[in-house]
Amino acid sequence: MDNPFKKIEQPPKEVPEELKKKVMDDVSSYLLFMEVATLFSSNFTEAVESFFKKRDKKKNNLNE
Amino acid sequence: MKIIDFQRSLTDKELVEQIVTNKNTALFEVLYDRYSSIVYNKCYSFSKNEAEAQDLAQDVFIRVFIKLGSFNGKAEFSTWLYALTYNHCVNYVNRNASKQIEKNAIRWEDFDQELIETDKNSLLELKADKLKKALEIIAPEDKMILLLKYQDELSIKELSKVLLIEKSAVKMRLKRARARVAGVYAKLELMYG
Repeated sequence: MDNPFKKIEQPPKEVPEELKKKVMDDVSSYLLFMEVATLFSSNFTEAVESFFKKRDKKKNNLNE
Repeated sequence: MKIIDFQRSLTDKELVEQIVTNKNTALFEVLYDRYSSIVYNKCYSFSKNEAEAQDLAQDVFIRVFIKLGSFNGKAEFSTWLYALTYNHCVNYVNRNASKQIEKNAIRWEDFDQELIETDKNSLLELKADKLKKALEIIAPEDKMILLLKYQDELSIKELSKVLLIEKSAVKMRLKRARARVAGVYAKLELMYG
């Protein structure tokens, strides 16, 4: 018995050529966005933490 | 072996692992080449034209890239991908339900919601052209589960995994979806012969 569900999309539509570029551009934009976001989330936090650590050290030095 | 040949020889799971680990876009291209036709055609079956299908497929692929890390490899990658594609399409159709009313499309609600209890064998005897029309009319959630089961041939166990529902719930949803599509199909036969 032929499965009619297999026949309903026949013949398959051809994928537009420009779709691949659009998808890969989206992927590159996403990766760039994530890199920038990482810079501001983890590295920025680290930078802030190290800044305050240095400031505390200076304070301690002055108090001595 | 050339690099391209090597990349193409990788299994879906191997590709996914490497993409997640190395964020390798060239490998994602391999995955795209492997599945773009299937994804695009699935999107086309839920949309009204090529432009809509293209937008949907583009959205699906970026979602795939973002969510690849959550693919746990318990199911086949294709199964996971088809479920993600259908879910995206179903959401799209539901969001645009008002648009369908504008276009005066025939909708499930316009039918008397007649249910005809149907088993798998009777369903597979339906004619493809009218079945396609009936699938366009029933709720997209019903269309999704019918296509996953009878077009993509997922088992009840696989459906349970990708839809995140119990096997008994899968069977119930399938039974209802079969009854609905058979009801609409019968109406279409009465209307158009």
